[in-house]
Amino acid sequence: MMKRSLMIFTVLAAGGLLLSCSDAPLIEREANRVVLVELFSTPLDE
Amino acid sequence: MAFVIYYDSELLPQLSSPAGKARAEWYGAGGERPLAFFDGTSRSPQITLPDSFYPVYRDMIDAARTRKTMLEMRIDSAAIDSSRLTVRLVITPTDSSADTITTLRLVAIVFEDSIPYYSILRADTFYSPMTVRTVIGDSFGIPLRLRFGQDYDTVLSTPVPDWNPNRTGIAVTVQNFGSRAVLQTAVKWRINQED
Repeated sequence: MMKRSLMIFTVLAAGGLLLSCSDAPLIEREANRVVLVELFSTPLDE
Repeated sequence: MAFVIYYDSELLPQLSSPAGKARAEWYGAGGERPLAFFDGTSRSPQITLPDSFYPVYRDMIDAARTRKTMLEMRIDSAAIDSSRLTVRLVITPTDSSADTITTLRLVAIVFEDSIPYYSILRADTFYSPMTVRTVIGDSFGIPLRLRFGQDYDTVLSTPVPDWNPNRTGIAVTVQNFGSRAVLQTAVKWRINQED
């Protein structure tokens, strides 16, 4: 009886873990970032 | 880092572009100049002392660089032939979060380096670096959907009217149109030269 309860608990715990992870993004690797700097300027005479 | 300058001046139309006006309005730049945006979302503070530019901008660039991104991008090839610029690029999502963003735009900013202009006040010729000529598509690029596990491979093209082909470059960026956040950028400083 105890063995069976333990098995059910294990299955439920594994299922719960799977569900909680399903929404997490899959990250293959971290990409290096190149930063974009957009400068809004005026010519010297303004 | 990729660095471009927009002008929306009526005084020197040879430096200005429709993209400069459109993107300044979109960012809510107002009349404050110079003004910089780092990866779309970090706005520079107003700087009056020229010597304080470097430390402030350096800190903001460093801060932007530490943010995580979810894709890689590379320019496979770029060329200017017969007054037409063509660029081939590949985007690789490295994080499945990219799948859920429906407001991504591919913004290809074409710029020309060292454009001469004459200053009447200083009675001398100056050169404007990395000056934006156009954004391919319109000033906000073209819509983009990414799928984790799939490379996005595309070719972009635009006419090169009277710009110096040896000083023309391109910065291609993926920007979230909803949040204005830039996710990744690739740059080719001078298209007709080997890096």
